[in-house]
Amino acid sequence: MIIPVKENKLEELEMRKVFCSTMIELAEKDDKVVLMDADLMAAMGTKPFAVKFPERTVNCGVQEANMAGVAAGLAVEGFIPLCIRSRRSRRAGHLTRYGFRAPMPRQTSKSSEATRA
Amino acid sequence: MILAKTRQMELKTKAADIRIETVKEIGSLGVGHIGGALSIPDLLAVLYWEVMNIRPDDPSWEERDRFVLSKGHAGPALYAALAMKGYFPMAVLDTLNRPGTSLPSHCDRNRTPGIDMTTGSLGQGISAACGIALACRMKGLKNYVYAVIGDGESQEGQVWEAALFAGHRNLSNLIVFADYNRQCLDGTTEEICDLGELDKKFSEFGWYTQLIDGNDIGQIYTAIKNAQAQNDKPSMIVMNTIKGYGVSFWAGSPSNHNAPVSKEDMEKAVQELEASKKPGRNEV
Repeated sequence: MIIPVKENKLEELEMRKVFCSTMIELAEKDDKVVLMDADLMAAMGTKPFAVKFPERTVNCGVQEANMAGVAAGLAVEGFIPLCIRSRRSRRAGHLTRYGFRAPMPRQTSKSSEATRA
Repeated sequence: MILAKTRQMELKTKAADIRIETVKEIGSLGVGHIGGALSIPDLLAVLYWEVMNIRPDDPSWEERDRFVLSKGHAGPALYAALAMKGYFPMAVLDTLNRPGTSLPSHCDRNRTPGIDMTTGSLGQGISAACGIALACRMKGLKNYVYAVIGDGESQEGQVWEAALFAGHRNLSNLIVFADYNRQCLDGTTEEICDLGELDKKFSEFGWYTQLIDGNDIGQIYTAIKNAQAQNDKPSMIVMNTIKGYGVSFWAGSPSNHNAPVSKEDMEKAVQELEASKKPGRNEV
């Protein structure tokens, strides 16, 4: 469930908790939903999903390009894979030929400077 | 398991027919990936006429075996095989890579009946084949997923990510062929970025591997049967092939990757391939 920001106050619930509970909610509704990850489940807080749906969790290891390709294969077979990717996995977003694309994380000039520093 | 000699001869003729149709497709267009397309018709003949469980009148039949041509630039050879199997009329072959065609130079599953995966961005097809194999296993299907990767393509890091993935997950329903013709676009694979012993590399990644003559119908068939007998590992069949096989002036030529094909070349090639179908005639 998406909770809107009210009265200009930030919601205190962690984004990753909302993400995982939403994934579980989606997976309960549709047995084709598959969660894919590249060895970041602990950081992304998706382990509860893996516990609940081990057969629909595909942790690929640190290989985001292959994860996107495997997701394409799952998708053409009727599954609905959702890939989780972090900043370290920019290449996966380049994979557009299969007709799906995860949004590229935008790096602002401010954060670029911070990274360089 | 050995394929009867008479059947081998029939499939050899079928492979020559695939080559003839491929040459006509590319020849009528005037340019195309003739070399890499002529590497694989022997494999296509064995897969589509002997091994694969398919229904050309129902391309999306759930139980079918899947085929992913990861080296998608060899599409014209696959289109020839699909048309000959009846997936679409032979006349469609004349539209290769022209505006509005259902046969683009590289495979597109949204456009062509019988194409199971969109390919051409090298390295991605084998990952997709892994995903399809995983999906088939999750669905409890008893089918096989076959895929062909190029040798130049195997210089892609993603191929090795996929190799690790499939080995780790014991995708025994996945049988991949490497078309090891030792030529990529700019030169030999040895000159550009040497692949060494591909079979040993895949063995290290947890695959059941075999090394065969990929232009030999009998060896291809036996290798597939050996691969199917495995139940705990994905299979890699490294095929030593000749790029441009079957046509003397293209076979092994260094400039046959994506080359102009004149009307004269086309006619000479078709003539040579027709002659190779006669009994007792050795192919180039």
